[in-house]
Amino acid sequence: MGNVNKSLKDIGSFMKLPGANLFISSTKDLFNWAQKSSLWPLSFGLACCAIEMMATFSSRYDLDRLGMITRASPRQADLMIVAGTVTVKMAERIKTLYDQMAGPKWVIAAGSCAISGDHYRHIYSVVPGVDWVIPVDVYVPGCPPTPEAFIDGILELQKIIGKGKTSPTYNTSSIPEEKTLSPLEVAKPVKKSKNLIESKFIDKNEILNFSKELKNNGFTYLKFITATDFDSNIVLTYLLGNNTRNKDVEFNIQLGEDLTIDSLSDIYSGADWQEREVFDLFGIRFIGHPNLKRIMMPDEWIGHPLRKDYVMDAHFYPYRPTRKEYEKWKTEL
Amino acid sequence: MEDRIIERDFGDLAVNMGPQHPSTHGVFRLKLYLQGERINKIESFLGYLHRGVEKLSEKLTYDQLPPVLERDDYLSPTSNSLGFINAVEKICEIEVSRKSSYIRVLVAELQRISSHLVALGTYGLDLGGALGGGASLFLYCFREREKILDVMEDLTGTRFHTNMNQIGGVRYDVKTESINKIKKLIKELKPVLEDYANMVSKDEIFMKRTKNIGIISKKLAEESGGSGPIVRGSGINFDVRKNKPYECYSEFDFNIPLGINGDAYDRTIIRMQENIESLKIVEQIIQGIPSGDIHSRKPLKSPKLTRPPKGSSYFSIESPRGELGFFIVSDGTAIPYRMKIRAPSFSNLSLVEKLLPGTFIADSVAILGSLDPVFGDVDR
Repeated sequence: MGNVNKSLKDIGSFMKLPGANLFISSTKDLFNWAQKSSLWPLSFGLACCAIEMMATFSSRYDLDRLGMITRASPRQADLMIVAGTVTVKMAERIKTLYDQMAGPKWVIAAGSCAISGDHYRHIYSVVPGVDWVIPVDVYVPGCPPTPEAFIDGILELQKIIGKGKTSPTYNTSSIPEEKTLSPLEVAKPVKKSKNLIESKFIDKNEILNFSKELKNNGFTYLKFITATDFDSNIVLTYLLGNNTRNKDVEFNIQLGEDLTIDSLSDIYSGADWQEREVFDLFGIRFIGHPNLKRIMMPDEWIGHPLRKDYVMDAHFYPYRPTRKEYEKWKTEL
Repeated sequence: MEDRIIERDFGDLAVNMGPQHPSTHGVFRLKLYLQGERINKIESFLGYLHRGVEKLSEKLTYDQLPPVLERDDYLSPTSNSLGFINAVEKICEIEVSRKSSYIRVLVAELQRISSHLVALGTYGLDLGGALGGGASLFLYCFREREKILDVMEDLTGTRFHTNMNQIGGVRYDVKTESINKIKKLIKELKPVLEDYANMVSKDEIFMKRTKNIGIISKKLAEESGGSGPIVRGSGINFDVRKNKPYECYSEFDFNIPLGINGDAYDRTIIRMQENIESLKIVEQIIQGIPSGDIHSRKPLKSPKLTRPPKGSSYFSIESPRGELGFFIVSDGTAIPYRMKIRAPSFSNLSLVEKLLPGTFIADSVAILGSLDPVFGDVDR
C-alpha cells in the first residue's frame, strides 16, 4: 500500500478530513496511472528475443511485480512486445494482431531485428523494421536485449503512459495498398561457378531404382535433399544414412533445362518437406510429389531466392520496401 | 408421433492454430480439420521466420558467419557455430588444440542443459494442469537456467549468444575463477535436475497426458529424417557424439539414454536423463582442461581470411535437437559458394503430419511440444 500511496502522490493530493480521507486528481491522470500499472502484454514471441522475454517474465526477473500478466488473446492485451525478426509472411499477421487489440494500446520493438532488421535487413523476406508495419512506442536495443534492458524499456513505456502521451501516429499513406513484387529483371547476370561437387553423380532416370536399392541395403535415414546452382544448371544433392552400419551415402544429380525429377516421397516420408523446400527456393519440380507447394515463402511470391541470379535485396510490397524508401519515410516521420 | 432422428453431416470443422499461439513454440501454423474431438487431417504452414540465412551466407566470409549462424537455433547457439566451424576446419584441414576443443565442448554441453530445461519448462506450460498449474515447472526450469546463463556470462560476456567458437579455436580462455563457479554450478544443479526428472517421470497427471501419445515407430523415425531425442525415444541408438565422435567427445565417459515406446513420455524423460549425462561430461572437462593455446591461428589482430580449397564437404554434430549438419560448397574464395544447413528441427517437425491425424485435439499440443521444435532452426 505504501508504494501505491507514493505513486498516487505524483498525480494528485491527499486531504485528511474528519472521518474520511479525500484524494483529488484529474480523471485523465488517474486513468493514465491505472493503465501504466497494469499493462497486459500479448504472449507472442518470434525468435531469440522471445526467449529472453520469457526469462524476463519468469523466476528471477519476475515482471508480475510491474503489474504485467501475459495474455494469449490479443483482445485482452494492451501491449505488444515484438520480440524477434519480422518477416514478410509474419508482418501481415502482426498487423492483424495489432488491429485486434483494443485501444489504448502500445508496442515495444525489442531487439535489433525488430528495430531495423539488423544483419538480416538485406534479405528478401525480412521487414527492415517493425515500425513500417505498426506504430512503435519504445525501442529496446540488443541482440537479444538482456532482461534488464527489457525492464528498462517497460519502465520507459510506463513513463510515457503516465505523461498521457499517445502513440505515434501511423503514416499509412506511403505504403502501397496492392501487393507487388520487385521486378526481377533488375537482377544482374552473375557468373556461376563450374561444378565443384566431387562425390558420386548418377543419371536422372536412375534415381528411383538407386534409392530403392539403397533403402533395401539399410540406408533408411534421409538426412537432407538440397541443390546448388552451377553454370551447367542446378545440381541436386542427396544424403542418406545407415544408422546401424554408421555409414553415409552422398549422391548428386545434374538437372537439365526442364528442371524436373522424380519425387522420393513414396520411398522416404521425410522427402515431403525437403522436396518442398527445394521447390520453393530453387524451382525444381518433383514429379509425383503429393503436395508441391511453397513452404518458406508466401504462395504469391515470384522467383526462387536461392538461385544465383536472384537479388538478395528483393522487395515485396506492402511489407518490404526498398532500403531507400524506408529510410526516406523514417526521416520524414 | 413417431421419433425422427435427423442426421446431419456438417463436414470437418477447420480450426486454426497459430502462428500466434502460446503452445506452438514459436511461429508455426496448423490448420486442424476436426470431426468432433478427433483430428481428421492437418495442414501445416511454416516459413514465418524464414530469414534467408543460406542466401546471406553467400555474401559473408567464413570468419563472419559463426555469430550470424548462432541466431539460428537460438536455444543452443553454440551448437550452430560448432557445426559450422567443424565443417570449415574439415575442408581446410585446420588443426585445433586440445584445450580449445575442451572449451568448445564445455560450452556446448552447458547449453544442452539449458536448452533441455527450456524444452521441459515450456512443455509444462503446454500441458497446463499437469504439474501444479503448469507454470510452476516453467518457473523451476527457468530458475535453474538462469544459473547456467550466469556461468555463460562469466565465460563469454553474453548470456546465450556466446560467440565463443572461431575457426581455429575459441575466443576466450577459461579462468580459474570460472572453473570454481562451474564447480559450484554442478553442485547446485545435480540434485535439482535429478529431482525434476523424478518429479516429472512419476507424476500421474503427466503420465496420463504423455504416455502412449504420439508414438513414433522406428521405421517412421528414420525415414522422416528424424534425429536426436526423437529417434532415441523410439529406441534407435543414434547419437553423433558416439557414432561419429567429433571434437574430444571420444575422451569422455557418458551414456546415451534410450526409450522403448517412442511416445511423448519417453522423449521427455530422455531429455531429462541427457541433462544428467551432460553434467557428467562437464564434470570430466573441468577436472582436466589441458594447457596450451586456445587458438591455432594468430588471434585478434586482423586474422587472415579463411580460404578453403575448392570442393564440398558435409559435417554434422549433435545439437540438443538432433543431427545438425552443414553442407558447404567452396569455390576457393573467402565466401561460401553455397551452404546448406541440415536443421534437425525441420526434419523432426515434419513428423507432425504423420502423428496428428487420428488423435484428439487436446493431445495435439502434447505431441507438438514433445518434438521440441525451434523455429529459427526450422525456417532458417
